[in-house]
Amino acid sequence: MGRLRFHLNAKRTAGACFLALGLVTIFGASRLTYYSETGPGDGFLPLWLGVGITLLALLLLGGRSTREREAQGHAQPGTSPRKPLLLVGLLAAGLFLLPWLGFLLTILALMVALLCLLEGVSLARSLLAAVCTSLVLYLVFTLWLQVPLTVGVFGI
Amino acid sequence: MEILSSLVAGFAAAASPANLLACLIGVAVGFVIGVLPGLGAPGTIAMILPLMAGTEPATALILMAGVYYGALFGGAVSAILVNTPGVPTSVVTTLDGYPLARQGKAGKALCMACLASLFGGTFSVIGLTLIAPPLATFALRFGPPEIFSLMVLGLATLGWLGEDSMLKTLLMACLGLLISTIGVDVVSGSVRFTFGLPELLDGVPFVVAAVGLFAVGEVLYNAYRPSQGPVISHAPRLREMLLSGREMLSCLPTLLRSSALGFLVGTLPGAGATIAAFMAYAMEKRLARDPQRFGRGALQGVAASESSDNASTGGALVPLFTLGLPGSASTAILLGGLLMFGLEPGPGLMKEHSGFVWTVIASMYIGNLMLAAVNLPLIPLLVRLLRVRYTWLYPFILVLCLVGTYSVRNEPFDLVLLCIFGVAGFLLRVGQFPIAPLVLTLVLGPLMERALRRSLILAMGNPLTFFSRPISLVLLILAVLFVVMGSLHRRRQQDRQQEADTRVSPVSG
Repeated sequence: MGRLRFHLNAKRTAGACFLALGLVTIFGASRLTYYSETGPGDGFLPLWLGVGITLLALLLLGGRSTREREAQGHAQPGTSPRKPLLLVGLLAAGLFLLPWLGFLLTILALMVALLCLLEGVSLARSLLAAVCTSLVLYLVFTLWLQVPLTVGVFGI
Repeated sequence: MEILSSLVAGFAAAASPANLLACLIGVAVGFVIGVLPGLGAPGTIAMILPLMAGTEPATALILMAGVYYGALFGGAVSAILVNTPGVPTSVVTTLDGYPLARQGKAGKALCMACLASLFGGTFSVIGLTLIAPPLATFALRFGPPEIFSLMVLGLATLGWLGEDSMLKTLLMACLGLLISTIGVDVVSGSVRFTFGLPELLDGVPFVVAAVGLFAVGEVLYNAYRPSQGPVISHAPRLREMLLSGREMLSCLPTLLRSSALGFLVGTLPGAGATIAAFMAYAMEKRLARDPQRFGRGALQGVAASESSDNASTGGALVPLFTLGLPGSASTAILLGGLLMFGLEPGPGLMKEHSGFVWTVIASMYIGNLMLAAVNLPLIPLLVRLLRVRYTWLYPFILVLCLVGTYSVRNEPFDLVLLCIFGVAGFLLRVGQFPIAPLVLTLVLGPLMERALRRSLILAMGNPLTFFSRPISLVLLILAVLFVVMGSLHRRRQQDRQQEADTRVSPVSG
């Protein structure tokens, strides 16, 4: 029953999000040109997409078929949102620090954080892996492919 | 006979040491580019084009063509091993390639991708050799209404991509089309849905969305699930990694059909390898005796996508060489290369510079063989990557995604977009929404909208233009048939599923 409830909540949440997206799209498209003398305008397709998403979202919210089968077939024991949330948090922190640390140092810090903090790998091994990765990235992207990676306040 | 003698002369020229070296370099560089998400063949070809100014035209074209189809196979490698499509066409390869890798059959998937690439590329070169002029004439009849109808047919194949709910598939398709409208509208020049952000004026880069949805989303989803060990626990023997004779024979009809379809779709200006791959996959799933295997690790799925997208490379050269019309982004850059060397593509090119054209065609035969020869021995090494515990693997995947995405436009904002799409990909997976339709419509959306509006402008707003033109009408009828057959197929699947559930638990609680 718990799994069924989870599935129904997820479906309702998804439906509500898509409904909101559809309505926002219709609003946005209404401020564009729907049709002009020369033919469909820039608002033509977005408006119809907004209508389509709204209708499909309503169907998703109101859908009644195969609930139990879906819930039983797709239930996943042992799942937890903790790790993905931490991962996203680390990525966000890395992006925040990018202008100051530069690309290579950010990658180094990110790898150490992922391996050491999230996966419990020892600091020494995490640092070694991170340094090797940054070095390879520098050789391949900066030196060989000439991709100008962001440089931070430390000049790296 | 004249064609044969021209081809032999072309082989003699293509087999020169300089041209062979250029082919090898092109294929190797293309492979690396294809594996690394973000770089892509068109950007790489554009980067090396100025460097080729002092070389022989044939050598330069051979190198650039090598990069082009080397990248196609490289994209398949990352699609199969880490569910990251390195190039747009590899999105379809992920559908069955990645499940095969998860089942410990990465070697077979990579082997099939390599051989299917070789088959498709060779097929397309034969097609280019034999039927380029009449095919080019047919391709000329494709105007905006036909392009739009072809895109509609491409969308109609969505119903065959997976076993997911049609409602969710349609929602994802609409979402992809909506995302594709972000940025400056090329027809009217107005700005849509950028929220005042100048970084979105060019729209959402496909690579950012695809890498975010597939790769980053997959990493987050794997973090959400219980912890896993390596995909394979032991070093597979060589015969476990290679295809058996029976497996190869079973995929032969798929290879033939998909190559033919890919080549034909490739000749149509604007269609591209991505739509060829999706259509071939949907066709094979429709024709398969047991279509439920598709999406769960069917070798035919990998064969269909890889052979069709490589076959479309030769097809895309048909309008380029014969009419001077580039069929895709990469051939548009090749066109720039031809003009740089003072060679004007068009009907006169094959008459006035036939030696050059046949040398390039011959080099494509050689290049396809070189691709297989270079990459097949790498398969055992690539498969060993899957022995690495996921704990160590996913940080490298994430870092590669970050760097690869950044290299597209050198915009830090793209990294923010990558994370947003990554979270979206994760949430969509949790909610069991299929991602492939979103990616397909993201690619097709701009082409489709442009074709739709141009058609209606040309027809003074009369929508009957799509039905009054024979080719367009046939394509739309095919699209309707695909949709109807797709719905019937799903209904049959659901009925079978209900019967199976009733047999398992005859007394419901």
